Amino acid sequence: MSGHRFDEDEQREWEAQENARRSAGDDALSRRYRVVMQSLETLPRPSLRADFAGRVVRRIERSEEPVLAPFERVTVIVFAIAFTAAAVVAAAMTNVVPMLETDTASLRWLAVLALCVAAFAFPLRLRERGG
Amino acid sequence: MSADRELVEAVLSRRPGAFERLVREYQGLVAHIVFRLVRHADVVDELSQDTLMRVHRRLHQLRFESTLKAWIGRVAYTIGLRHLQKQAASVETADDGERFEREAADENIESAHSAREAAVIVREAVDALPPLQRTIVSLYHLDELSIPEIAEITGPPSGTIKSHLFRTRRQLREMLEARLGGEA
Repeated sequence: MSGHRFDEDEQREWEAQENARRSAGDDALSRRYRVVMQSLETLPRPSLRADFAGRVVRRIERSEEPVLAPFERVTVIVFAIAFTAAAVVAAAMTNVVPMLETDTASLRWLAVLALCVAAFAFPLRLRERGG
Repeated sequence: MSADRELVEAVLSRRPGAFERLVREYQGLVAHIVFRLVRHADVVDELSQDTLMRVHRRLHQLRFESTLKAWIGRVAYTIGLRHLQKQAASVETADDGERFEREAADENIESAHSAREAAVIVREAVDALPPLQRTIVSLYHLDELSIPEIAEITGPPSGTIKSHLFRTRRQLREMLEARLGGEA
């Protein structure tokens, strides 16, 4: 126990404090501490609102992000890559998707980008819905 | 295996109802520590929830070098202290000590003749103590935590905790005697 070392008087007073706390000891110093100790026992305690534990548990359930297991993560990535590759092929062969039938190259690349984003987002959405 | 370890393992293995049991067991201690630090009943519920959320997130880090009670108490103390710092409340400053003296002197001495009134005076004096001291006193007296447990929760070594406890109680006695006249 580091910190301040008690001298003899302080040690005696400490023991009087502890005696008073246990309602023991009938020496003068212990008696002088009795009211203090009784008062300390009556310090107010806070009260939590009803069903505190239930509310904490529900808050945790809400906050928990769906976590992917390593195998699931790899599966999602493989699917996403395959999906993206397919999207790029589809975009390159413009006749497959009518909206991509355009002469503007930038629009075509924009569509590819959108498809890529969709490819990554779709499996994750499925997972969130429990799919 | 101790009850604490069983409870922690149940929570970590996501056994239904296990965390709720942990919350019920320690919510009183958490609320008490937070309340004693922040002194505003309206934020105790929210900060206690934050504490137990953090306990849930970090429970896997518990190595049982301290008791579960002390570990949870430490989380509550950290969150309460951080809240105080955010509010720019001074922690361990001279101001708190001065307020302790000032509020004690402002109390209506003439009416303080019963144990109930002594309790009111002591309560106000404890509220005016610096955060560490008021936490030590109330954990020791209300939750009956040991000095080493309080040291684990609040940080300073046991000797310092004992010294704070001793001096605070002496200060309270002297204040009460001065105000109630003679031996309180």
